[in-house]
Amino acid sequence: MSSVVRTRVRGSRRIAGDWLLTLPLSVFFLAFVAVPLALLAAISLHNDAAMTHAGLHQYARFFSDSYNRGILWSTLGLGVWTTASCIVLGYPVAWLYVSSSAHWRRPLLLCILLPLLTSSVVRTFAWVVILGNEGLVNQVLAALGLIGSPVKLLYTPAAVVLSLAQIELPLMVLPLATALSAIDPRLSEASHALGASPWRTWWRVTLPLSVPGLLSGTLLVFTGAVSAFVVQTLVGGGQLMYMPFYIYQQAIQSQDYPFAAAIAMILLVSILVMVTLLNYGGRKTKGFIHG
Amino acid sequence: MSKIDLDRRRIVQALGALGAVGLPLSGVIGNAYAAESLAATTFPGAWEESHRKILLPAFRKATGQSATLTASQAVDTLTKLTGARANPPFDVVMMDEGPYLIGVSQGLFEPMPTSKVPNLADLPAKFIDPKGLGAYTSGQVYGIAYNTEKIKQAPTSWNDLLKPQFKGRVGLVGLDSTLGLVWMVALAKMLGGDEAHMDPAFDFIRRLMPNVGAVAANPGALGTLFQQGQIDISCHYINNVESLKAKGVPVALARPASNWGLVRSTMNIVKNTKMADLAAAYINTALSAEVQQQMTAAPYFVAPTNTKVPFGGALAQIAQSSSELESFVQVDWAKLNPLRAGYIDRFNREVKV
Amino acid sequence: MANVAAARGARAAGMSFRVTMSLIGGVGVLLLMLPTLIVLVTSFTSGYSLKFPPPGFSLRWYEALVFDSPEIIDALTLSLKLAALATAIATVLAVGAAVALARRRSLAARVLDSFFMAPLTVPSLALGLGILVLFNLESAGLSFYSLLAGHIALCAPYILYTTSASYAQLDPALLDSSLCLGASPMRTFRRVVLPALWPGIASGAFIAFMNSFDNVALSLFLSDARSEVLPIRLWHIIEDSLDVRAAAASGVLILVTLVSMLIMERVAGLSRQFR
Repeated sequence: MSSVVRTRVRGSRRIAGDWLLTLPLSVFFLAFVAVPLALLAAISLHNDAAMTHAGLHQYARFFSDSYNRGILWSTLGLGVWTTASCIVLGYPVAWLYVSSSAHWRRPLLLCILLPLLTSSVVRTFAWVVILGNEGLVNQVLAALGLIGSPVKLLYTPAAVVLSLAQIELPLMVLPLATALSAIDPRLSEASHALGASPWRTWWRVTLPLSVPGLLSGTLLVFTGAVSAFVVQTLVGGGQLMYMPFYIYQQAIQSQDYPFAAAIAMILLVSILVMVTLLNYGGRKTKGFIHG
Repeated sequence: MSKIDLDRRRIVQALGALGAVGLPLSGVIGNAYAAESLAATTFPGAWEESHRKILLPAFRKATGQSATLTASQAVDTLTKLTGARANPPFDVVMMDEGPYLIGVSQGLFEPMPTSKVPNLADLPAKFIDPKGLGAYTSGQVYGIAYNTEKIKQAPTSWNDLLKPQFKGRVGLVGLDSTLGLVWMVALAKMLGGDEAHMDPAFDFIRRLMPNVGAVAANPGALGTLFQQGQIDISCHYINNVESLKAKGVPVALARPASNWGLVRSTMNIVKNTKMADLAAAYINTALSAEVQQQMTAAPYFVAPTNTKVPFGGALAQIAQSSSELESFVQVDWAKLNPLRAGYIDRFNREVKV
Repeated sequence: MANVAAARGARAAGMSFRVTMSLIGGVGVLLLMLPTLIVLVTSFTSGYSLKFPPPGFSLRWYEALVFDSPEIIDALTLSLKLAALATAIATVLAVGAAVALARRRSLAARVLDSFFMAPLTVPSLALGLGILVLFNLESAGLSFYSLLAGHIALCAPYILYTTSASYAQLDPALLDSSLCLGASPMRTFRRVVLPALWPGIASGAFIAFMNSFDNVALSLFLSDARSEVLPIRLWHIIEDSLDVRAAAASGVLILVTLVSMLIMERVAGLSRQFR
């Protein structure tokens, strides 16, 4: 009797104590995540750099100018193209991972992890070396006799997409691999037994079942690509302007904080819209997968 | 779990804990001492190189103190100073003439203690700020830089950049750098305009766009583009070009028909610095005949302001004397500064792919 | 006859699937590894430029890195201090929260969890700008501590995520039996929960450390102007002078990442977090 009472008392003490454990992190995040983001929103609602009048001028200024709209458009486009490239490349790599024997899986996983953990500046640097006029790609093309003079690869939007795709690829492969390995192998066996070709099985059985992983990966790659300051600036060069560098330029170089905050908010909202769409898609397909 | 595993885990845990505690502790202690050396700025690229090689060792010899050097374009340095007036991140800064005037108008600098900067006596009066807020430490020449392997015939005028054979091979530098700005003014002046009437220059840029291969963020980055073979011709400073030559890049500087361009730089003590005396000593070292003499030599070719330094050797190929420098294309910064922001914005829009 | 043809056709289809997937997969893995390898090889060049393949091999740039680059060493030291401190503090903050939030399905818990994961989706630029504005408003000015604050916010989600995942794998029966046997919640935490969570915490801390070390966006906004973290210093070197020392520094970073990753795999089963 008394031991039961003791356990229950301990249990309720445990619950109260547990919530206390979240306090330090909550306080820290309130001060350094919630408040800054709220400040950003508040600052963006001022009409001038000196912040004397409130209003929506900064947003009107952004959207009324085709130069600004173009920057938003190309940044979002970057996200879309990078995500598409990562899907096309990511599925086969994930397939390779799940099809390989347990012996090969761990080294393969480490191969996928290493780029993720390596500095982004280092990986971007590699692309500057590879895509330059005197870089590897141009050298190979010249050696094969395909071109007479170097092709401008660096400082083009395609170069940015390519480097971003390579840098974000692990973030697509890992969720896909997890999703693919969670699929019951008997399903594809049944599909084969019923006469479907491997392509058809892939298309009609495996792919739909891997959609949660696909959505996860898309989310990670899209947000990563759109915010990738270093790659966009180093590989894009001085002529290509994207949202992240625009924010930096307006805040630090032009000292126009309200405008910079507005650009940051617009970027944030674009990402949130994408996240919401993907989450919605995820919820819709959950029913579809479990019938 | 076997005993061995437990022990191994314990060791790794202990090491991890040690590292987690030790490293930050050393960081906290380290930071307490970090503020001891003088914080100075320089420009990125060949400037940083020359200052590290020549100025810092000379400063050390003269005062026994070390200085930390941060590479920062003049306009970026200005921004950093205005962002933290009460507790400035730098003690002594290097400025281009335009940003220097802006800094003076914004009250960012403090007067140099003239007793601590005896070398001021060797400077012509016009190279010292009337209120003692800084001194001109160097002059820099710019012209047409070109890749000697790919362009056999040396260009003779800025108009040569428009030639169709240079399609995709011309380099530009952003207008937030001094080089970009002074070059635009030089173009305007060549085409009949001036600091307040830059339409001819923007027109030129518009016509130049099919030839533009890349736009660099700063003069240092412009040099990198030559090095990688991304561009073969552009405007550039002589010190950056010579520095590239020393690294084996086949590049040379040609004199445009409209004449060389000249840009002067200053050094200033930042207001509210805690090391005013040391900052003054730094400027004194930069103004000294020995340092300025070394800077005139290859590969830096920095024009001196100290009257005791002769225009000999390599620099003589460009100019024989200080008065000859005066004839080079210069910029009236008082006229240009108010219009700068508008020009930068206009340039960014023109140049976007 | 038709059956044989059909069987052959099926085999061909099967082969074409495997061949295509293996080919593209192989290209993908190659693409993942190639740039890193190229930087590594280029760092051993004997020449002044970053041509690949290098004209000759030498250790000169590594020597220059160690002996002639005080500004790079300073940046490296700063980055290490920052990442270590940020990870340590974030670990203390996040582990508690992970234990508290794990296994709770209430709305409050899920909202709190999403809130703590926010720095993973919010671009660190936006966060950096926001914290910069906060410090400016408080007239606090930028310093090591403004940078540290941003980096702790960046590190916490990773540790929270891996620790929660580890906790979720913990058999609740173990906790119940510990409590039933008379151990206080504190003792249960120390002797049962923490040792089981240790691989998760360590993996999360490792990933957080690497991310903090690598972060550019936060540092651009929040570091005081005279100190530069390593990625930013490297960026300036790459953009402004294409100095081969950047390749040497990159080579060192790659090797250190590789070695520490292998160590973490051995000691804490890093890859398990991703499987």
